[in-house]
Amino acid sequence: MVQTANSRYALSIENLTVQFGGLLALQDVDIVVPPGSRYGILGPNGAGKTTLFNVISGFVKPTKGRVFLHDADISKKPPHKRVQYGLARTFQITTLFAELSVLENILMAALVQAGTSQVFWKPVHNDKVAVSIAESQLHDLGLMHLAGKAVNELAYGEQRLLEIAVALASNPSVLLLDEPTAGLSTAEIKAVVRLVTNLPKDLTIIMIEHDLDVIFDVSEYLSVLHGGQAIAHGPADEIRHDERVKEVYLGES
Amino acid sequence: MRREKIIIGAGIVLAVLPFVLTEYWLGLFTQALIFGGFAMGLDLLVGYTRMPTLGHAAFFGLAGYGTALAITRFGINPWIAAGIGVLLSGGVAVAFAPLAVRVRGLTFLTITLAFGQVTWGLATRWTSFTGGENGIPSVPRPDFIWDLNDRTGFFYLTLIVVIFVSLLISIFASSAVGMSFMGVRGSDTRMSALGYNVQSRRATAFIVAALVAAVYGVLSTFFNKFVGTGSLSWQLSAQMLLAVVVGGFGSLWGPFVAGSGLHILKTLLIGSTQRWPMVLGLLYVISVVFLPGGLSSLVPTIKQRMIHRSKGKEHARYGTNSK
Ligand SMILES: Nc1ncnc2c1ncn2[C@@H]1O[C@H](COP(=O)(O)OP(=O)(O)O)[C@@H](O)[C@H]1O
Ligand SMILES: [Mg+2]
Repeated sequence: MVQTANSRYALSIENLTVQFGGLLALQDVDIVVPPGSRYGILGPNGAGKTTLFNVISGFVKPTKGRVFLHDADISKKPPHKRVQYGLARTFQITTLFAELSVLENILMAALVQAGTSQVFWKPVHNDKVAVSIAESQLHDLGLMHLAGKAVNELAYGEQRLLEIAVALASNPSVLLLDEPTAGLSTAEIKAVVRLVTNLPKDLTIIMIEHDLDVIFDVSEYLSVLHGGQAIAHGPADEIRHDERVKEVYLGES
Repeated sequence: MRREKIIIGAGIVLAVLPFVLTEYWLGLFTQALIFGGFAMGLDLLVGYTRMPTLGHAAFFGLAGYGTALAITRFGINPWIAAGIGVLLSGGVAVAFAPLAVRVRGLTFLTITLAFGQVTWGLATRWTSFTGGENGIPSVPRPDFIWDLNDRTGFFYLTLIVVIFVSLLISIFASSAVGMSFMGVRGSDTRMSALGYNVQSRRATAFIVAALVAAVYGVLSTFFNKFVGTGSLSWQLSAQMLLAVVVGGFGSLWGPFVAGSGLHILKTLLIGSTQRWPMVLGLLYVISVVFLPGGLSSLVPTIKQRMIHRSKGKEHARYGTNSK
């Protein structure tokens, strides 16, 4: 029964509980994400949103519960193996390679996709396949002009875009974005929203977001987390008018 | 490609040394090349991957002991013995790496130190086999196209090995695997999220640096016709670690120059003073305070000039990594 139910979803999370010492960061959370959807995760600070992403991507071992990507149970896979199942993510705190160029940052992901990340006998810049994957990624996102720059020369907004570009170069079917607009100016937020809305329709995107305008702009479905519990799920329009959600979250801001 | 040309060019220039140096100095430079090469290999581990070790002399010494023992105790041909020495070090590195790469920072430093001390203790205590404190004397050099028992002859063998190994390291460093080492040092979380097995990358860096140390450990044993416990000592590991720091993380040439220079300095000073460890410590402090980027930071970053110069060129265009 579980198997057939899962095949309908790009991602499904069953009965997830994460305990850090005495703290219940997540408690019996169930989330299902239809393929190709734009799915928002909403919730106040400390609600457990990043922890949820860390469990999905394998960086945090859940106390209980399972994670399915498409049909596959990936609960036991280490983070680097989950990439092979089509998962990619960004981080709330930018974790780019500061000493490398923009192209090299993307190349790091592209090499894995080209299957040449093990090559040790020729310069990486001569890897035509990987370089062209990386370049076309930059090109598609309109970031080609940044290719030769070092990451520490980029504006913060550009770094957030690059963060997404790097994740996309892993050629994911499910993309997790952890607060991609946090700390950005209005203009920079617009750039991120434009980038995300223009992504291929068959890509499933799950986005943690603090900015309510952004989340209602981008997502079709929402889950609301509060104190480690998923207190509401549903289409964005319904969530907007859900009394409990207004109380615990929308009311606060 | 540029870095490879520099290596070959430097090798050609060094080839004149036998014509301008006395026997004593030529011998000193031969050893300097050996320790420079050792430090360059260590840069892959310490500089590229940021795994500071205090135990890599173990792989230098083990290869030397392996070679010397194979020749003197078992009568094996020196060339084959050299292969045995390198395989011994490589094998031990392969066995130890999975354990070592599970820990980081200070724990990694201490676990490598402890490992090095075990090999040192073994060589010191197992007197009947290793010669204990006396080491293994009278290790014959192998036969070759030219006479290796001649200082000049041995210098040229060393130079050829150094050029060859340096070229391999240079290409390796600019490859996908070399860049992944930089990625691991930058953010191993990000690297796992991109699909890299971080542990196995760290283990690879560890083993490659061990193999480089092993090759030079064999050369050093042949040069001295002797191997002793000093080759396994933590002091040698510390000296090599210092060479990478003083030379500049991840520049390859910096650690090479510093590794060579430190050896020459040590040899010159040891005649007049027993205070080498103190000199090392002082050098460390001075370099950290006044030259935090190491020797390599003195050359206005090759990287930046590279980007500048090659605007419009296809391959190096986007690189800060390509040299
Ligand atoms: N690795 C961890 N160890 C201990 N506590 C953690 C860890 N990660 C997160 N937490 C705690 O779990 C709770 C949820 O954190 P997080 O998932 O980051 O929230 P959010 O992303 O919704 O702001 C917080 O109280 C946080 O302090
Ligand atoms: Mg968070």
